[in-house]
Amino acid sequence: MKAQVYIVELGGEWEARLTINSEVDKHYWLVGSYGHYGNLNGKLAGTGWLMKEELPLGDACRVVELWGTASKRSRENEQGSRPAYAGDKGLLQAIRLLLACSEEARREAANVVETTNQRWWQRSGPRLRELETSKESLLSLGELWLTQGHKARGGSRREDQLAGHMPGGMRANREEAGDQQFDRGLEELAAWTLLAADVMQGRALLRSEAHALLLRAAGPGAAAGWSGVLQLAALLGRVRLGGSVAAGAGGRPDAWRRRRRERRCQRCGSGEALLHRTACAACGRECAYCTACIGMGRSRECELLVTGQRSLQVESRPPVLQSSVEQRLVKWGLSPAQSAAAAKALNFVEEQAPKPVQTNWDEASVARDFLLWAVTGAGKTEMIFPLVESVLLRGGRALIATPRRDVVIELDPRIRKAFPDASVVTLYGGSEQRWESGDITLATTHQLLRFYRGFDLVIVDELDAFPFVGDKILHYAADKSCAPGAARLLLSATPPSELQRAARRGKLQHARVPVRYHRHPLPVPKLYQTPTVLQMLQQRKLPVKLQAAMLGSLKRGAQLFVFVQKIAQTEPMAAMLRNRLQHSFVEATSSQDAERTDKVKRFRSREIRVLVTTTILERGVTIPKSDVYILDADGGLFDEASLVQMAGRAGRSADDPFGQVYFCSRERNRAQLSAVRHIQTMNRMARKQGFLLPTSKGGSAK
Amino acid sequence: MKASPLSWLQRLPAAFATAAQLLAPRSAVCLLCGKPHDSARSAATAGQAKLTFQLRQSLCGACLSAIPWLTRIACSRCGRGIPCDDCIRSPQRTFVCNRSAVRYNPAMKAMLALYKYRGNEQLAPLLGDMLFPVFEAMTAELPLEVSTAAKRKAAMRNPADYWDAITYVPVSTERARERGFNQAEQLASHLAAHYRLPLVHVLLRARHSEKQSFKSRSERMRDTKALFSFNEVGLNTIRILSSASSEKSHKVSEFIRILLIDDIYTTGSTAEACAQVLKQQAQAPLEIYVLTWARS
Ligand SMILES: [Zn+2]
Ligand SMILES: [Zn+2]
Ligand SMILES: [Zn+2]
Ligand SMILES: [Zn+2]
Repeated sequence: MKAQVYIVELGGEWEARLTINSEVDKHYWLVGSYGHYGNLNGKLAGTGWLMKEELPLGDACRVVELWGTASKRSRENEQGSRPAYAGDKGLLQAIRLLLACSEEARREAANVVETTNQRWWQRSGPRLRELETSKESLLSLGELWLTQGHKARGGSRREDQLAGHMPGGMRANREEAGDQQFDRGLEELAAWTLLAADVMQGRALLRSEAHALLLRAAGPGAAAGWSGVLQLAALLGRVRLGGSVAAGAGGRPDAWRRRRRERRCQRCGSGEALLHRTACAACGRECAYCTACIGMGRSRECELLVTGQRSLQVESRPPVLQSSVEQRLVKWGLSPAQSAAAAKALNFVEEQAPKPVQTNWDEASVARDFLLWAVTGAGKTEMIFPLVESVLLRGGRALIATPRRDVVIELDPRIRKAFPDASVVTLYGGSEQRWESGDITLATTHQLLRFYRGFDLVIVDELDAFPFVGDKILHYAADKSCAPGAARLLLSATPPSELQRAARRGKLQHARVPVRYHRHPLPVPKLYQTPTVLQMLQQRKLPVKLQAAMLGSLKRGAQLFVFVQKIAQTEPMAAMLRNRLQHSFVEATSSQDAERTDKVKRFRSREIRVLVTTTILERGVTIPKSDVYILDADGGLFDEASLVQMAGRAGRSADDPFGQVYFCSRERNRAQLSAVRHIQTMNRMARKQGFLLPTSKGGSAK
Repeated sequence: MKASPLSWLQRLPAAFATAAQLLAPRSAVCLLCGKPHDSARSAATAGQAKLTFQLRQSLCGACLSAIPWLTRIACSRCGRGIPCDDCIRSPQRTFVCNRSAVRYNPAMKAMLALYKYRGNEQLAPLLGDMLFPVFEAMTAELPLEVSTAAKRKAAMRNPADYWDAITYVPVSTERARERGFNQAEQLASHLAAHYRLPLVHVLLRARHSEKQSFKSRSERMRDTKALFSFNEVGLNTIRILSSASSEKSHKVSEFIRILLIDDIYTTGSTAEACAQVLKQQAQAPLEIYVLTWARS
């Protein structure tokens, strides 16, 4: 889209601004009153001048930025001696500067790079030079705004025509419509704006998304007048309007000492490499769009990104929290290990008073991180309940983000049950609650792209799981969603080594939960030396030991997870097992299997007894009585984390806490040994801290 | 002091090679389904040898082989794969015929939606490339002319000798602003650039038409009239361009052969309306052919 730029005189100083609905700005600066909402602008302008030409949105943003730099530099140059900005001379000077800024923005957009030492704001472009002599022609490039006191001079009655441009379908000027109706239009605008500003808090939305939100929250009138509503909200400092792809602050000078301004998707953080430039009919120039987050709507240079400022503030320790941490933990019925970790996390969440609401949009906000390292089956969901409660009691908002959609859907009823009085919003692709706001937001990590500093507590589940791991966009989104000073809780059974190291060195606060909720130790994997899966399939032979173990598992009534490295091996292996085990309830599934959901369901219901699969099922699927066989355990795709996760499928229920885990491979590699050590360390820690049931033995022998 | 979250987050990928990353060389991801693909393998698939390198590079084997190419034509007028009522009902068409690259099945619908509505313009060259085989087939189908028959036998036809200009179905200004581009124009310009044919901007779209799908057939026919207007400059360009070239298969003084591009051909009413405007206003004999990406 396109936007306009204008300048207003505020107490002798000129300021440049961007607008997507200039009539709204004009009324705001010259009149400022909105019916019974009274005066919303405490600092009216004396004069204003709107440049007629519509600029591509990105260029308009840049003009305002350039204006800021230029006026700062000229102030520095003229040290103390204030420029003579009063009267006509000041106006003309300001207009010239604005035109120079727009020329410069145009030059930049056309890829003419700025040299660091050229003082472009002092040199005038060819177009300007002609204009310099004639005040009339200069003024004719725009529209002069004068307050009523100046009316005679400018002869402008334009603000009377405001009503015609106000939302609400009023197409008459003040004289025709009468003061009352005119005021009603303004009141309507103010009401919509205040509502819009509220619902947009903490969000980062593309124009179409903002439109959808307005439609939902404030009705079709507000949605039709979206540009006026957003513009007034921007004037009130409640939202920020900008290009969705824009050059970030602080471009680096290149080898020729020219400043290169690198564009970045403001929504997902992707840089030039992921931007695609095309001729754009919406803004009339070459315009870059982001290919990385296009699945969530097209973010481009001339596309509006609306960012809502949070106004609510979380209190640190109001009277409601005077009950101690221990007292508050009781009601959740946690195991001793869960309680200890939750208490530590709760203290962390509450220890620091959140920072005051920031007025500076660009100031970096760094969240405070806490790692909750909980073994598979530790019952981490129960542990986050007290943390969420703490934030809600203090009037804040909590976010629980997890990489997978099925986990979100599964978590939803549990959260609603735990917090019956809180509003819960569940977000995933295609979710119906897309435009609702709540005390607790449950979302897939991708949905975080639509938030900006929206949450006081952010819980990132399974941060080491695909697709979260390695996806820069999701990390960017996870950072962006945290309110300044928010606590961020990272949950994992197998944290990345980097985080483990930071935790060990005391650089990252953390709590470990080394035991499952049922207080039995984790099954320790047995290591079997076997041929590779390829050899087994070629020779059509299942090693005797392995076959015996599997028959044993079936006999004791367990479900069997059989993990292999390659998708292509799942079906042949299933066929072989069907034959060798003389058992027909053997199936195979993988990421490529359209019937995966169905097969997992049948596996749960014990209709399928043996499921041959890949790392796709290393997490998430929990089957009460199950044994785990990992074939080719020395293969490159199975690292320590993945082996620990797969082993974590066994012994999950209190009824069958001693499931069996087998690592089958030709060689014992480091990953296997580390995984076994990892599990043993957790068990030892649990025993030492007295978390294990007194009756419990030390897990299965090696 | 604690580790900055950003620093470890950024280094995570290096520390943790996930299964997915190992399986997928990062550069080769299918533009349609997003799945990793082996371009070398998909290139070898039989029957796809005609496709451009770019197509084979950008799509995985599964997506490539799912393209429903429209090679067998049942209706020589509209290029449909099955006999059609529309052409029987209104045999008089202002354009000579339509040809389409693919059948508009759900997969193609999804592909077009990604491009047209999601705005994934990286697909534009792929859709454009998909027009090449049908464009060449269409050129080969052109009626023989005595003067050039001998020449034609000797060498492969050079499409540039048979067409005077390429143009496209325009979109309204509002639509262009909203979407940022006109898909028909992008396809036309891709084709024109590849075969070195002049692309002309002859047609203008007067107003915004409502969603076609909600209307009856006759309503649609009526509405599309008066929808398009004419750009005089564009046609002059055609005259100048074609008279400048002496290599053409036909005499430009006799007629000007124009190829009209659109994304989808449904009833043919859009193409018909465009052709009518062109013919009425041109004050020169025109021979208009229609080439669309999909035939619904
Ligand atoms: Zn992006
Ligand atoms: Zn643009
Ligand atoms: Zn594909
Ligand atoms: Zn037909």
